[in-house]
Amino acid sequence: MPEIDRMRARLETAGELTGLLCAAWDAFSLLLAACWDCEERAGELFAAFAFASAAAAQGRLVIASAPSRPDGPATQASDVSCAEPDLDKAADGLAGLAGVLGERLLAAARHAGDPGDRAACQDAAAQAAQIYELLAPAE
Amino acid sequence: MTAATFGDVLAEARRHLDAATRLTATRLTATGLTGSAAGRESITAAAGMTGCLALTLSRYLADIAPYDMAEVITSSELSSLMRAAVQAREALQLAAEGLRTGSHGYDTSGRGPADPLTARLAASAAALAACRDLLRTHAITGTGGQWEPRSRWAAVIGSGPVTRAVAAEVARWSKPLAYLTAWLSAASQADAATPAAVTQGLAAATPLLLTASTTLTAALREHPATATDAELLHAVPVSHVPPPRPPSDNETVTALAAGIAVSAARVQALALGTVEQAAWAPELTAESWRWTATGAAIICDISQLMLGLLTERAVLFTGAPAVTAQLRTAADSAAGACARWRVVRAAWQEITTDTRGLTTPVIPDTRDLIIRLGRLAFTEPRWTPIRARRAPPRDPADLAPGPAQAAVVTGAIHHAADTLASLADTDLRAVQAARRADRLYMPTRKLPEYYDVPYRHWKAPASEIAALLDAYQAASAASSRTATDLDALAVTMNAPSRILAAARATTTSTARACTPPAAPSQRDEPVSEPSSQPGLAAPAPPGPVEQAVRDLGAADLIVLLRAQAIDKAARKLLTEARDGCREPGPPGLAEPRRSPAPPARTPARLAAKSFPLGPAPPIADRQPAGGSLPPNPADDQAARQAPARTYVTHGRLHFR
Repeated sequence: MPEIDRMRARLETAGELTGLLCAAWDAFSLLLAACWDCEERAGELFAAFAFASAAAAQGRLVIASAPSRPDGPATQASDVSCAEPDLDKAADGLAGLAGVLGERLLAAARHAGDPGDRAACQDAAAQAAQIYELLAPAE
Repeated sequence: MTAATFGDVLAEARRHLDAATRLTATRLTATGLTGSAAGRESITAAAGMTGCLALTLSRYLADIAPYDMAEVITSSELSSLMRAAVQAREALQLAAEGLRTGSHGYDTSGRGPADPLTARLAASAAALAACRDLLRTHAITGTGGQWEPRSRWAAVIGSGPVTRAVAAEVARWSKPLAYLTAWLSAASQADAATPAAVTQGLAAATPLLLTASTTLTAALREHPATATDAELLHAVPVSHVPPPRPPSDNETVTALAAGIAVSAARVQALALGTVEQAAWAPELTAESWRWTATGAAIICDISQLMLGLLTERAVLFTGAPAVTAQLRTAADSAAGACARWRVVRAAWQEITTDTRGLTTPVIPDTRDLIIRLGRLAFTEPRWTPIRARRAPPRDPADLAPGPAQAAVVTGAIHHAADTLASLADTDLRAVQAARRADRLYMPTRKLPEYYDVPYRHWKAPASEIAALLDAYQAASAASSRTATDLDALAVTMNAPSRILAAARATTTSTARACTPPAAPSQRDEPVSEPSSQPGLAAPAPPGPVEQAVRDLGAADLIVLLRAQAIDKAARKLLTEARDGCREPGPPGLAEPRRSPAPPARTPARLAAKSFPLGPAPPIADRQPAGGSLPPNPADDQAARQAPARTYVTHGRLHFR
């Protein structure tokens, strides 16, 4: 999915905290929309995508509470749907995105000066880790 | 292990009574009860124990018919069964008073009963009282003295069918007690040294006990207690939240189904306790509600899958062709409920609370339920929702090799559906409470631009909350429909869970045959306390109405009882009139009722200025402000019985 690749690249290159929080919001929005979309046809993976979707929604709400998150209207990342017909490939891509998101948020938490930012980054990283755990393939 | 039921304990009580009755088949002279001090003591003790049984029976009737005799006389609205129950109750109380008055002074403390008869009667009386206690575990007495349900069985216990079954049970018990007192009366009369009070009490008890039985039996002809009514009464379990039973690897289908029943019972009990707490309890969070809605959707999805698999085993149900159609209907309902729960989850997407975390007490047991359902449905014995544990569905022949296992699987799905129907209702009420307490927020950036507020979150707009509540209502209706469809299926398949169907049918379609039970203090008021109290009051002399009736002669017992009730009501009226003439106390002595102060809500883990109500300590440190908001006693009880568990660390619920 090109959207996922673009989002990964954006997260990896996000510099200061404000930019990362904006990218994280959009990444969670993408994860939410894609998991929701995959859920519809997930079959045996319904539970994994459903819980991942719930974790993405929570991650986004947590990011919204970060003091350094800039005000302003939300972007439209949530309009993205999962174009990948192969569910395993979709899950792989989403798990990879969640992994990068979690790593970046954890790193940001370590360097955040504001306790509110630190707590938000830690909690959002936990949600990303949950998504990764749900969607990652068997080792 | 399943919880003890009313029927289990009643069978024990009945076993002892039957044994006691068999002992009386022996000739009097062979019993050794006459002509000796020990024999007299045994008769006295047996009379006392029979009195205890009669007293307990009267209390059952007080539970189902909390009226006094004056109401029976004056009210035209009471059913014939209620009238009969009150009259029989009075008869049983009188019998108990006489029997226990005579036996007063016989002290069994510190030693066992003197003879097998008394021992059997004592054991029966204890078990019969325990049966009543079991029923009463399903409600608590509220602050206003009214009964408040603490389980869904409370509605069943108050239903018409159970009322009829209780009346029939009391009628069934009164008769052998009458024969027993007749036998004891003959024994006491054969020995002139037996205390007069014992002899009189026994002689008076027999007709009273027979009257109680015949009065109830006559009324039950008009309101017959069916076998189903009795089955429902006997199936009432003790209100007990079982200890948690986390899944272990390689559980059998039977163990999985049993574990699902345990989780279902725990989720229902714990969810009930969250309703009132939602206004203030920090552990009730939007994140938790979103998670449980997601879990509910997954439960429905897996249930639909399994019901579909069972339809492929039509060969098992050739004797009951309705089963396959019922399975399809239930599968469709489960799919519909899944869709509705997904809408609930979507409605939570932008709404949050002032606290966060997967902290609601129902979450660990909901997790267990999901995992076990998944392990029933899929071939991986260590299945969890994570992708790494994915597996294909079981082969239908593996899931249900025979009708018995098909019934077990259906029972498990039935328990899960029943739980969701209950959870939808309790979560809806909890969210309504959270809304009333202004605990529902949205990120400001998600609000329309005209919301110009200096916080990151602001109160969720009414339209968003309305959509959320609508979604819950639809999920509740869909979940109830699924549960009802599974009720029918469970009955047809004779699944272990079929009693849930009877319970739901009773509480939803049957109007109660009498008013809800009154609080124990009200209901037990007319019944004298056990004879452990020193000095039982001597029987009161006849009042003017009773005396007039006696003077007329040939009045039957019920008429005399009614006359006594009129005298009693008159005495009560005079007492109240006298008390009402007393000077009232000075105003202002009573502690004024204060409305509870809202807990201090301050966002700790959330950013400062995040919520309009200001910063808060972490969840673990938080308490309701100043203890000013007392927890609901039922909730408190449920919480003590079922301590919350958690698998959550750092905001994650671990499935591995």
